[in-house]
Amino acid sequence: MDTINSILSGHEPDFEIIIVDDGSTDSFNKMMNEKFLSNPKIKIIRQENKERGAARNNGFKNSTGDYVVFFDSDDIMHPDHLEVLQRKIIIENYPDFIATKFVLQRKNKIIPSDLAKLHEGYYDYRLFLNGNPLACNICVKRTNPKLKLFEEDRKYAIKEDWMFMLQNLVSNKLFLVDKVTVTMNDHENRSMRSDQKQIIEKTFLAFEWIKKNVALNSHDLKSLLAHVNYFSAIHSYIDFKRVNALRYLWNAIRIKGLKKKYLVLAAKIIIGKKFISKIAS
Amino acid sequence: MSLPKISIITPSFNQGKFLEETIQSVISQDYPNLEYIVIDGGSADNSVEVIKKYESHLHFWTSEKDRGQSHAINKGFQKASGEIISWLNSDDLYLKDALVNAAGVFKKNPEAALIHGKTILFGNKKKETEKGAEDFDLQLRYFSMMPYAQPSSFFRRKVLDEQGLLDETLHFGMDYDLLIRIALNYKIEKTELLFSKYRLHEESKTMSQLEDFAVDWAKIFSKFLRTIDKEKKWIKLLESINFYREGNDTYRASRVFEEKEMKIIFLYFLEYQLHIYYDMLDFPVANKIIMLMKDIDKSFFKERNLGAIDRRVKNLNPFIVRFLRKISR
Repeated sequence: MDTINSILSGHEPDFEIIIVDDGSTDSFNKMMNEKFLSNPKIKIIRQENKERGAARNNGFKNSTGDYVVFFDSDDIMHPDHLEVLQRKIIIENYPDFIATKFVLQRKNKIIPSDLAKLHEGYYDYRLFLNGNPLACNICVKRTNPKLKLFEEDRKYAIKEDWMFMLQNLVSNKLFLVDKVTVTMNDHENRSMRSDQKQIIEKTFLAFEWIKKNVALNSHDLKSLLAHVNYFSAIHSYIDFKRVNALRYLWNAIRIKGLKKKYLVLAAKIIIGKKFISKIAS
Repeated sequence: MSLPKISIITPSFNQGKFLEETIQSVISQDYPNLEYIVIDGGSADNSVEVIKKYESHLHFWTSEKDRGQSHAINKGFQKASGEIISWLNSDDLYLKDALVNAAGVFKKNPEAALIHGKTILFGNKKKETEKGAEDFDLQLRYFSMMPYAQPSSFFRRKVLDEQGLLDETLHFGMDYDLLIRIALNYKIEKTELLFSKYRLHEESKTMSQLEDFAVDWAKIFSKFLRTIDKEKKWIKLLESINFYREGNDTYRASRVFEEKEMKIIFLYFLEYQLHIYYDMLDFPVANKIIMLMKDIDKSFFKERNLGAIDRRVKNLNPFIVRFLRKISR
């Protein structure tokens, strides 16, 4: 609700909002209808519960704009978000992909995202070899003939953003705007943080998918595999699986050699998360 | 040496207290091939008396109600037969030998359709200062604004024959409109010579007119964009701050612009507008212009040293700025 109000409160150009209701409860449906059904800018599409990828594709197919902004239901658009995008789209002569920067809100604290230090300009798939710093704060040209939509298979859920970025940005470029226009909620129960074992499995699944569907050279694939192992090491560590963590980390080191961030993680694993959180508290 | 015929037109309306000095500054040039025309808009003050006093030096004069300054100047243009033409407003002055010097510059630059030199700003109890067009990006800035003072410019009559008379719907920006037509089709020559004195009026009067100027300039620049911005990129950007003025008219143009050049022209136009809206203390509009300039090119914004305006617009109350301006005067 806050998300949609944040979009409506902007005073920007011509836009439509497509809400894809991915199998919400009846009471929620009723509330949505009451609040938004009379607004001509808003279209509500209902689908039986599938997955984010399918919901986004469904929304995309029902859109009519020159550009489509994917926007998740727990994020907040600043009033100038669409205006900034529109203006930069014109200035940059209609790029295929464009994104602004965002900040994370954790409880009452605002934290910069990994994008903060990046310069404004064009980026390609290499920005995503170490994970997805953009989350899904992305705006795409609807008429781009090379655009590939999101993977809908549920087994890749939560990784479809990353796969989408890599698959599309091998043959397109992304323009990153150096302006913060979105606040993302970084709450504890965010789907990313639930089950560590599942997250690790999905990351490896996603890697296999990328290997098959995205034409990356062997050097890039190596970097990607190192990242997948490093990422899995972190999540094993969070899950108190120290042996697994060391094994994944060792894989990463074998692929990429010693890196500072690997050593830092190695030290943390050896000391143990319990001990570290004890000191920290 | 044969000197070309120069036609000077003075449009006048209720500026009797300045008019005599203006007329004298033209007559005292002693230019042998001068055609001087005064077009009064039916002044209610002593203007007609002054004009009659110098009647014998004038080729033509009239005093009747007209549709504004550009209409008056056009009436003069239609009477003018000189090879070189300009107009001198009834409160500005020519400096000694301005006309013979202008003729000399044209002779040396047969290709040039317009020449412009320096002026001396005077009046309003301020120290007199020399001012001319600065060189940076000048060939592009001709499309963004008036980089020189109009009384220090002269043009060849073929400009009027080929491009038409002044646009009479414009009451403030007709000189900028003419400049664009010339810059789109001919060569312009800049000289370091001093031609005129440009009178500054009381701040209050200038302030009240600033917005009229800004509106005219936006209208003219919109027409310029319609002429050359086929992709409508810059039109859309101007629209995004509500500065674009719809219309169907375009200029006749014999040149095209690269994207890079368009960007520079556009940014200078915005910079000029920013200064006007800042002077008018309209901070919300000034801020919109600043945002657009930064979105287009942050480095231009820095290079032009606009940071100070940016900070004041963001952090200060307009009334404080007005107060500071008053006490610093």
